[in-house]
Amino acid sequence: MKHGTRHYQVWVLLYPATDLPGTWIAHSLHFDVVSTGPTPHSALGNLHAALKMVIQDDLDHGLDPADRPQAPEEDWKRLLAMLQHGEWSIGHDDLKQPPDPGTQFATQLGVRATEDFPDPPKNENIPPMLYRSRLRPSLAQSI
Amino acid sequence: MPRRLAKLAATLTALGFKIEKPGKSGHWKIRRRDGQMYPVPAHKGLKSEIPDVYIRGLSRFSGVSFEVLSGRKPLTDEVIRQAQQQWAPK
Repeated sequence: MKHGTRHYQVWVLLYPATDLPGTWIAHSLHFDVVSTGPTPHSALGNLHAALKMVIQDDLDHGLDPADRPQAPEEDWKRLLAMLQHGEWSIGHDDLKQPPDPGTQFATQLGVRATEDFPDPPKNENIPPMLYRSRLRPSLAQSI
Repeated sequence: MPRRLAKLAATLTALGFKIEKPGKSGHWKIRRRDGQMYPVPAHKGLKSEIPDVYIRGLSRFSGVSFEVLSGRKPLTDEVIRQAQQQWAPK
């Protein structure tokens, strides 16, 4: 069994929940996954754990995480507006401080997951190059 | 208006979805028939309050309307039949 690593960079919106005072929402626009926390920083941490679980679960079940639907268009427009009109900051230190009322954040989050590849069939009669062409149908057709 | 996880889980179970209790991460899992999973941020167990934003995301994932999942509309036999045919585990 061989192992590989998948790395995803996702856009995240962070904003206070309107119906739950003291709760922050972390919404991953890729994969459309939502998590919560008492502060923006903890919500982002919980979202990271949730995304890792989602991606790993999909890979373990033979599903492609990229097939998951993305967040609705209005959330992407909200991100675009924040990127165009918001203030830029570097690092996640802002997220640890109690933010001013009405503050929202947009950030990117990196998520890694490991993937298992099954061993190739052991057939000594097949030379390595031929086996490689079997893996790539377009290449096999052109030969 | 947020909804308690206990009530949300009861609705999803009635609709035929599979609910898995959390492991280390504290996230519950809701599984569809095709195997895809959606995590629930419930760090206080069944007493966790689930905000509307999350329920809307779950609605998009499950294909069940937001009103039904949030308890604003009652579960009817028609809704249960549709959900079980579409996504519920075999």
